[in-house]
Amino acid sequence: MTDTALPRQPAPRRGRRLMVPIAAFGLLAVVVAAGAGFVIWWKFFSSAPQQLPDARARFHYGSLGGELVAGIPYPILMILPRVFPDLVERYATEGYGPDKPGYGGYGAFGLAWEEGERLPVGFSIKRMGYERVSMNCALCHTATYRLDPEAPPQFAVGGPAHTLNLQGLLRFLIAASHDARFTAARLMPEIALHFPLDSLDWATYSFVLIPGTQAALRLAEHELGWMEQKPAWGPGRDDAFNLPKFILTQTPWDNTVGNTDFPALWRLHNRSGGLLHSAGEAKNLYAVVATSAIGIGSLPTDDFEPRNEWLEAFIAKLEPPPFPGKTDAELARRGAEVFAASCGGCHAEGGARTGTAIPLDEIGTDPEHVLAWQQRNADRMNKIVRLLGASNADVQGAQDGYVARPLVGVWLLGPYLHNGSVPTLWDLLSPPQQRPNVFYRGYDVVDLEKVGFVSTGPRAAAEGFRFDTALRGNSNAGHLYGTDLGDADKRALFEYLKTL
Amino acid sequence: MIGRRPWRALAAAWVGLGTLLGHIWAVRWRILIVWVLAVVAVGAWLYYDYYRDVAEEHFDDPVRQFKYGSTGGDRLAGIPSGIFKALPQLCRDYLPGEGWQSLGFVFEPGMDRPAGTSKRRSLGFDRIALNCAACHVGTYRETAQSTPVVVAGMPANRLDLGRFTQFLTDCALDERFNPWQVVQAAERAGAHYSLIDRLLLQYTAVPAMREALILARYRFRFLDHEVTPGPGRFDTFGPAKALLNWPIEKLPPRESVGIVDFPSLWLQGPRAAADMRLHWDGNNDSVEERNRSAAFGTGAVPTLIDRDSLRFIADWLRSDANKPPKYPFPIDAELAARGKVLYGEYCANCHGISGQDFSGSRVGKVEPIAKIRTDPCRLDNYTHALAAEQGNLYAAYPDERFSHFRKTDGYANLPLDGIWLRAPYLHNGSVPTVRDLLEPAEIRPKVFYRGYDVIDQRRLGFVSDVAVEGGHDFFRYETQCVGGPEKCAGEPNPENRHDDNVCVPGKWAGNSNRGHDGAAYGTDLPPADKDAIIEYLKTF
Repeated sequence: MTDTALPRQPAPRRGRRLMVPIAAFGLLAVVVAAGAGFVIWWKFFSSAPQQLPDARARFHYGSLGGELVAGIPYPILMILPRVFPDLVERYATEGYGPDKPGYGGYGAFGLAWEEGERLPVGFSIKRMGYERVSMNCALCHTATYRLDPEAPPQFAVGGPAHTLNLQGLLRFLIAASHDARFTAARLMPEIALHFPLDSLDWATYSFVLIPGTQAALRLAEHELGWMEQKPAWGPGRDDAFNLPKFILTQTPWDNTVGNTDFPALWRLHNRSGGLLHSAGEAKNLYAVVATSAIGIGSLPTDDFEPRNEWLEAFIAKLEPPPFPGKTDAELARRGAEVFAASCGGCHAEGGARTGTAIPLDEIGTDPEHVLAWQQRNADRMNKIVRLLGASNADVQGAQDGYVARPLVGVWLLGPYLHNGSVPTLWDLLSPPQQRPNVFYRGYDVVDLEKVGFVSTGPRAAAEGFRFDTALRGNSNAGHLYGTDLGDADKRALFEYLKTL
Repeated sequence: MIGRRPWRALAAAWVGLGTLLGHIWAVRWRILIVWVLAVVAVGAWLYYDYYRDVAEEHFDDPVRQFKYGSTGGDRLAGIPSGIFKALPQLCRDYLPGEGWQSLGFVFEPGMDRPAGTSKRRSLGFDRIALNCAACHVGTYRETAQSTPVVVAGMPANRLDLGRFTQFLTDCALDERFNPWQVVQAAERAGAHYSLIDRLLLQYTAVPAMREALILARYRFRFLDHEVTPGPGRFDTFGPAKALLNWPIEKLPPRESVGIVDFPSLWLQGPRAAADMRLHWDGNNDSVEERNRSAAFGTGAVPTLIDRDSLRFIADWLRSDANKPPKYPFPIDAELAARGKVLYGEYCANCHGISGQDFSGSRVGKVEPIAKIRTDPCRLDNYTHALAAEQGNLYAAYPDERFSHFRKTDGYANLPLDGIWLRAPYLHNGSVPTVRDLLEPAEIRPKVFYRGYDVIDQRRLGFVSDVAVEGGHDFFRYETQCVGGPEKCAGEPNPENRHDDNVCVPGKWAGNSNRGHDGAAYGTDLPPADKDAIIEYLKTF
C-alpha cells in the first residue's frame, strides 16, 4: 500500500515544487528580454525630433528620413577625415589641377559649409538611438560662390552645387572602409576624445556600429562599382539616372553615361505642366521630389508625403540671388527684344516650346544622357517605387532630347548645358568650335565678364577639376542658338541674360 | 580611452582566480574565503589607487587656481610629476641652460613646479601638464639686478613654447629615454615609487609617454613650415589643424605661418560685454568659446576638460579683479596729459579712451588688412575651411559646441590695458617698443632681441638690445634678411614684403614689422608728441 502510495504522492508535489523555479525562471527570462529589448530600442531607435529654427535651416539640415537606410553614425563620420587624411587628400584632388591644395576634412570635397555649423549644408543629423547623418536635397542644390577670391564663400539656397565633388566623397568613404585603419582600435580613441561614451557605448560602437558602417560602405562600393567604368562625374555632377537604374531597380549594368549637372531649384512653381529633369524624365514636381527622396534612402512611411509636400512648397518659391555685377539697363532692354525674338520660344516663361523636350536632331547637344534612361527603366522604377508605397511618383523614359527650361538665375548656373560642358555664358553664345575643349570647373569665383565661374588661369587650375569635352558624355556641341547673332545683338542679349 | 585600462583589474582578477581555483580543487574552503576577501580587498585598493582621478591641487584663490589649477588637459597630456622634474636633468644637453627655467618657465617661491602647470592624480600617478597660465603669466624687472615680478594674465614674454616642444621631442627620441633610465632619473629627482608603480611606469607609462610625444610631434609638424616662434610666441591655430589631422604639407604655402604673440588676458568682462572680436584676427566673439578653444592647447579635449576648474578660472578672468598692475615707475603727469589729447585724436577711436574705458567706435572691430597692412601671414593662416571645420568641435555638447568662429579680412583693434607689459608689439611681436611702433615701418628695427624682461621706460616695452645675460642667449628676431646681398640674394622674399597683403612665403614670412603706420597712425608726429603719447600709455 505504502509502496504504491509513496511514489504517487510525491509526484504532484515534485511537480508543484518545479512550478515555482520554472515560473521564476520564465519571469526572469521575460524581464531580461524586456530589458534587452529596451536597451536595444534605446541605443538604436529612440529618436528625438530635430531642432531647426526656420525653413532655410530645415532645407539645409533637415532630415528626409534616410537614417534607417543610409544613415552613418555621426561620431564615426566626423572623425574619418582625421584618421584618413591621406585618403581625403587623394580623393579630393583626383582629377583636379596639380596644384590643388589638399585640405583636410569634408570641406575638401567642395561642400558648402556654413561657419558655425556641425556639418556642411546637405547633411542632416538626427538621433535614432545614436546620432545618424543622412543626406538631403541641399547637398546637391546649394550653390557656393565668391565675388572676391579672398573672401569666404557665399551660399545660394537651391542653386546647383557646382563645387560638390560627390564622387570623390563617395570614393573617400569607400576607400576608408577598405583601409586597415578602419578598426575599432583606431577609431575609438579618436571618437572618445570628442564624445562621452559609457561602457555600453564602447561595446555598441566597437562591435556593432563600426563594423556595421564598414560593411555598409563596402556594400555601397559594390552597388556603385559601375561608376568606376565610366568617365568621372567631376564636381557639380552625378550620373542622375544610372544611380536609381543600377541601385534602386538593380538593373544589370550597361555602358551608358548619364553624367548631368545638378540643376537649380529656383522658381519651380512656373514649371507646372512642363517636363522636368534634363530629358523630361518627370512630369510633375512632386514626382521629382519623391523619387529624389527615395534615392537618398528615404522610405515612404507616414511622414514621407507631408515632408515631400513641404519640400515642394519650399523649393517652388525659391529665388536666385540677383546678378551682383553692373549691368547696362539700356543694353539689357534691347537684349530683351533679342531674347524675345530668338530665345523666348523655348526659354521664356510661357514660351511655345518652354518645358518641352527639344529633339536631339535639333538641339545637337551630347546625346549620352538621353540614352541612359529608357521607358523600360522608368517602368521598372515605377513598379518598385509603388511597391515601396509611394504614390504619384511616376517617372518616364528620357524623351528624345533635352528640356528647354525657363531661364532663372542664369549667372549662377555655369558651367552650361545639361552636362556642364560649356564654362561660361559667353562661350555658349559662341559656335562650338570656339568653345574651350578643356577647362577647370568647381572653382567658385564668379566670372562677371563672361558670366559663369572662372574656369581658366592658375587659381581655377589649382582649385578646379580638369574637364575634358572629348570624354563620353562631355561633348560641348550643339545649342547653336544665338551663336550667329550680330555682335551688337549678341552683346545686348548677353546683358539681358545676366539679369535673369 | 586612455583613462580606462581594464586590463590591470583583469590581471589582478586572473591571478586571484587562479589561486582560488587551486583551493577549490583542494576543497579548502575556509582558506578560500580568506583568499576571496584578500582578492577583493587588493582589487578595491588597486582600483582606488589607480583609477582615482582628482586634481589634488585646487586653490581657493582664483589667481593661484589660474596659475596652478587644472584645465583637465593633464588627463590626456599629463607627465608623471617625478618624470617632469627629472626631464631637464635627463636630457640637459637639449636645454639652453639649467632646468625648466632656461625655457622661460617661471618658478615662484614655495612651488615645486612652474607657474602655468597643473597637477592631477590620474591613472595612478600625479601628473603635470600645462594650463592657461603657461602662456599667460609673465615677468618684468626694473633693472637687471631686480627680482622679477610675476604678473598673472600678462603674456608669457619669456616662455619659449616652440623650444619646449622641441626639447620634449629631442628627449623622447634620445636613447636615454628608456623606461629604466627615466624611472631612475625620476627617483633621483626625488620621486618615491612602489614596486607596482615602478612596473607600471616601466612597462606602460614611459613607453606610452614616448609614443604620445612622438605622435604629438608628428601632428605639430606645422612648426617645420614656418618661422621659429622664439619666446612669447606660438602658432595658435596650427594645433587646431593638428587636432583635425590636416595634411599640413599639402596646404597652400601662404597659409603655413600662424605665429603670434601670446596676448594678455586682463579685463575679459568689458571685452565680453562689448562683444569685441577676439583673437588677433578677431575670428571669434564668444569669450567662453575662445576659452574652450585655448584649452584644447593644454590637452583639454571635450571629454576630459575640467569644467568646474575652468569655470572658476573663467569667472575670475571676467571679474573686475583681473586687471593689469599699475605702472610702477614715475610718470610725468604733465606730459601724460598732453599725450592724452594726442592719443584721443589718433588712437582712441580704435583702441579705447584709456586702459579701463574701452569705448571707441572701432574698438574690438576687425580692421581690414588693406587698411592696417600689418604682416598678413597670420590672417591667411586662418581660413574659412578651418572656421567651418571647427563647427564640429564639442559636437556632443550642444551648449558648448563651437559656433562663433568666422573667417575675417583683417586684424582686430584691441584695447590697450597694461600695454606697458605687452611688448613686443603688433600681433607677431615684430616691433620691440611703443616708440618704435610710432615710427614709420621703414625705420623700425630690423633686428632685436626678445625674451628679456627689463622694462625700457623711455621707449616703453622691454629692453630689446641685450643678446646675452648671465650666459642666457636671448632670441634674435629678424623682421627680414639682414645680411648683405651675398646672404640674402639666395633667399626667396628676403625683404619679407607682402605687397598685395597676401602672405608671401619665405624664411622671414610672418615676421614683418610693416603696417600700422602712416599719418593716421601717428608715425608722422614730431618726436615730442610721440613721447607724450608714450607717457599717457604708461597710465593704462
